[in-house]
Amino acid sequence: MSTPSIRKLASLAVAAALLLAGCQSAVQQQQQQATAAATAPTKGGVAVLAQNADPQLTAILAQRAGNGNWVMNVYEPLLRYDKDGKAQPVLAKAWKWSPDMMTLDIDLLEGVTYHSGRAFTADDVVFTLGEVAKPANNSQLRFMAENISSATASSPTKVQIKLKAPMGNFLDLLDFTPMVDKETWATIKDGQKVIGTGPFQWDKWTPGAEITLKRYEAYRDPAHLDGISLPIITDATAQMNAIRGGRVMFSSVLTPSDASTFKTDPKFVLVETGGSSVPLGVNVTMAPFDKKEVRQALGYAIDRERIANQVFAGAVRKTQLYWGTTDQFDKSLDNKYNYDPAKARQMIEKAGAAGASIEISIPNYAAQQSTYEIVRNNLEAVGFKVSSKIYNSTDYNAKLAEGNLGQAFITTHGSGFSARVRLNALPTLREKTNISKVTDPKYTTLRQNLFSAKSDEEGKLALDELTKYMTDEAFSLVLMDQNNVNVFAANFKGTTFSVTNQVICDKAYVVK
Amino acid sequence: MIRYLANKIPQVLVVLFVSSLIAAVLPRLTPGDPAVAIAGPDSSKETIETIRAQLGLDRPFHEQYLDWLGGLFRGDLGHSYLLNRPVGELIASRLESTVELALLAGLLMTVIGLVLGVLAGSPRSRWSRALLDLLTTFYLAVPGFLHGLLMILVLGISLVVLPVSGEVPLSQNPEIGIQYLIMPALALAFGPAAVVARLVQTAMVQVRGEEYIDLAVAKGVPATRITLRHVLRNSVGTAIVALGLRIGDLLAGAIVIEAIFARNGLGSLAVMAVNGHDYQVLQVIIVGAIFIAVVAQLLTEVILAMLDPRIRLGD
Repeated sequence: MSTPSIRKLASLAVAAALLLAGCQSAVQQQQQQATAAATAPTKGGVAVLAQNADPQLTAILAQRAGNGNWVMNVYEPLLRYDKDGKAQPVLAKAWKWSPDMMTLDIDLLEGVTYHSGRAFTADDVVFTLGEVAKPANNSQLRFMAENISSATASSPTKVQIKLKAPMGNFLDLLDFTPMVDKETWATIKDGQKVIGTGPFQWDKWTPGAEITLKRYEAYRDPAHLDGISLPIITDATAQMNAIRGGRVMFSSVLTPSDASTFKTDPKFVLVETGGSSVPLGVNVTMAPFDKKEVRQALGYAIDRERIANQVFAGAVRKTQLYWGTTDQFDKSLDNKYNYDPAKARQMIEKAGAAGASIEISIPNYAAQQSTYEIVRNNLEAVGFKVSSKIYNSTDYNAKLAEGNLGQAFITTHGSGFSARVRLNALPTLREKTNISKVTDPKYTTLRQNLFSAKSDEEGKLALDELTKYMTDEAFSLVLMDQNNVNVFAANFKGTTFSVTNQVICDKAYVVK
Repeated sequence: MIRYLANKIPQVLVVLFVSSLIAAVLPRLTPGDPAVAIAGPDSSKETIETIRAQLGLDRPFHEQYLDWLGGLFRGDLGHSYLLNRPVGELIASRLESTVELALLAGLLMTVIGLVLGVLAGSPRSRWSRALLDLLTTFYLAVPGFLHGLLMILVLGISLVVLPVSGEVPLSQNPEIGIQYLIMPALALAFGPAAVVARLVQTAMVQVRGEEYIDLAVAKGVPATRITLRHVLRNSVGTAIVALGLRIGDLLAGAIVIEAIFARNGLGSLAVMAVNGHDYQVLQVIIVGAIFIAVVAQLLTEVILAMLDPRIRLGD
């Protein structure tokens, strides 16, 4: 019997069983909603993007699981890095640094309005940067906003920012920060007025179910899509079924292994973007990792290739550094540790650490647990006794914040940010409160040299020195950068990605 | 019966009070708190402390508990830390989803369980009995989530006759809504239905050995009449107790099934609350679930008393 016949019979069976003959099909209804626009790239249609968490409206100035794709389409930053890392204008039309890199003059685009109809002005920029500097708003880039000595609106379209100290990557702040509406910011948390300047405006949020956005008709270049629907599907399997069954057109949270099952199906397109660094960190105050040789031995003991293939289905970028794919530095420094278990065993025995017990803390995510299994196997092969301590993600984050993850830990940190941002924002790398308990004055000095670099060349040299130090000290060994494997329905086109891997739909469209 | 139910009220209140205390204490014993979830990964200890103070989580436990309890008496169920919405509003918005799922699953559980049980407990050929046993064993052995995934693969992805996930409330569009409900309700019902079927089957086989059944057969009473009037009526008590007990299973199973089918019910709210340590949401869900279980038990006792005159409530 052919498949269409089976389908027909099944349809009839379902209809008859429920006495629903003649009723509209829910499947057809879902597909009609998704493909209202028949041809490309014309106006119309609703893009359906799966979302794995509810939005956190009190934290839209921070990077959060629930604040990704919708924020990128409702709000806009002053500028945006392109795929080559060059800053491109968005709400800022032009910007210019003073020779001493202490003052930045920004010209804003004229005629931009918020979704409320109010004009976007320089006052909104000053307000937003002030909010980023507040701890309650949780921005990972707060330290950059705190480096602003003054932000002044000299006219509705001109802003002048003066810094306390030169900061080579200050534009990161302007790429990362959505310009919020100062008039409604205080009441944003109830979800009634979420006002930005982007191509789509906030329509409705049903907690746990869906966010809907609709096209902002007064946008300077209105979007093709009528709107975006972001159903909240927390379960990864459900998300996979939703895209396979045609309910959603985009998913970004599938594991590389799950995503690879779509590879040969012409109805889907896979796009890899930067994902997360996967580091193995150790506490340098706890034996046996108080000895540098033992820490370095870990670098040689771990089979990164096996992790890349077995855990991440090859969707990785090979690097041993947090900034391996983002910054300018001497790339020859990025290959210190090659898999050499014999050398690792020798170093461990020489350091008198053979047979030492190691407990590795991990969050209860499948990828981290699979990574741990290979790490455990590798470390036992070179003479350690290895066990794990598994936390749920909230508790793991609490332990990270407390700096209390024991002897060793495997974690993930979203990539895309530059070295300076990561050195300040990540608990694994912070200067005084890093979770590896590194308090070496040399680490402080090398960091300071990088932060105070006044030119790109000076910054590159400073980063080279810091890279040499960090790979030698080996307190936080990056195993690789795991890529995000985004699955698109083949009829959903024209999207771009932000540097932090959120999908931007201003030029997106749906074809039949 | 009314006196019996009235006598039960103080017991129910004590159960609810103790439950509320347990519901408030247990989540706080686990490591982490809502401030950590709100602060997100990579947050500093200072940020977490600031949020903790904003949420009032730095106050003594008894103050937090009494505030919440006092709110309950005023009809205020609390406020979700993570979603910034009143708990009452969150529960109300998801109640229909879970009630629809539980009612249809309960109905399917009863129908499938009784039909399979009666068929298996009636005289049949060796082959048909083996087939029924196989079917019941299959339903018993395969967990609900696997039933769900299998149905999604077959009916949602291969044949594309039912939606793989999401929902439309029946109150909004019953024609569409029921199609979203079929697979999750079946996935939820199969396991408990098999338990009910096994109990009915066993009870019926036992009752068939009683002398009064032999007498009915000897008197020439038709087989169907014997099954329905004499055997089933005297076997169904066990099934009713089982059905009452399975209501709790349905609610617990709904947590998994709602996740698989991306339904926005109380189960998914509970999971969100557990993962994010959203105490106030969690407290209300736990106490609510216990209240439902207590009411289901009381109803079971009442129905049993109605069916079996030998049972006298309150004795």
